[in-house]
Amino acid sequence: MRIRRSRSSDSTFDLNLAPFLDIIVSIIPLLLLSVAFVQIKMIETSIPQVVAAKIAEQHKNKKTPVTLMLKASKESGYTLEINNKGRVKRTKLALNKEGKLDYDGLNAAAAELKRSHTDVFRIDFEPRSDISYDEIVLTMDSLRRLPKGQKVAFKDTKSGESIETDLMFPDVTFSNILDN
Amino acid sequence: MARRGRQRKGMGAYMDSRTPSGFKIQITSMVDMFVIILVFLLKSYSTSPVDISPTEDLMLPSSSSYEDPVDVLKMAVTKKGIFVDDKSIIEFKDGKIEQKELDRNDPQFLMSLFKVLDEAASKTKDIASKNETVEFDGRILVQADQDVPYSLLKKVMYTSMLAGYADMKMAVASKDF
Repeated sequence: MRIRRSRSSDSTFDLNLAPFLDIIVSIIPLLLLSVAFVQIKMIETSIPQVVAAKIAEQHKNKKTPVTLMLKASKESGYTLEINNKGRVKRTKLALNKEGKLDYDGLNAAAAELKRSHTDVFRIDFEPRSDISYDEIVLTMDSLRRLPKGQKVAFKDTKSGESIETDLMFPDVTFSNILDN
Repeated sequence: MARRGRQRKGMGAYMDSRTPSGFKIQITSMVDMFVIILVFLLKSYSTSPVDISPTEDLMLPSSSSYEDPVDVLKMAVTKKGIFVDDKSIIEFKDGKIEQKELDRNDPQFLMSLFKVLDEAASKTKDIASKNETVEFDGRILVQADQDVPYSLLKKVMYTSMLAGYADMKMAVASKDF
């Protein structure tokens, strides 16, 4: 006859969490020292330079590229200028209802522009003196990427392949630095 | 056996009469709490070479930029003044740049800032001439307060460009954080 024995009393045990706690307690001060409550990123900005290489590159291409310029003012809003082979087309974006710069409107206008000039990534930016650094950064953010989910395709000159990207004009140059 | 048989007296007898204590500190909930803290701290762990603690005078604007900052010469444009590598160069009076700091012939030119930047540039160039691993690439990281007007930023950019720092990086706070 088999003896039935209850195993419930044998299987219960307490997990010793003390060493685990020791490890955590020593890691936490270390992490607290290197914690960053603000994550810093950076934006590349190009300052116009009288560089021979740039001029040589334009001479090499032998064609006038499409140049884009954005002017920002607290009174009149944005003015987007497209210089296509000497023909200048201006688009004005008035201030929004709150009397502030229309970032969403700029994003939409830049996206439309990007679809017609997919190989242009550079834009000249001319903010007026009263524009704050915060407004400059928000403007650059509006110019950087296409609205969510949208992409454009451009032809890579080296490989000849069509590449899809959501980037619009990440290369922003402050073109009025030298103007006094 | 002889020791066992001996009857203890006083406090010893009282302790013997007590049932053995099974008391244990419940550390499970404390471990749970520590694990949550650990996960939070690991998420906010920073390996960035740029360490900025926001102050009242230096609040960086938020941006959707995704580029990590580089370890180069740092310049801060706060509400109180201009600093290069934590060293005060120009102090503002009533939040504005004093007239004496500006060049008479070129109002965009900040003389004292140029001197410091030019010194830093020639120092790096000197090191670069002797050490091949060091290269002067004219990169500078600007940390500016969000309310700083472009008129001031323009002066800073113009002066740093003349000092050889033409590749300017603008520090911003990440929106995704």
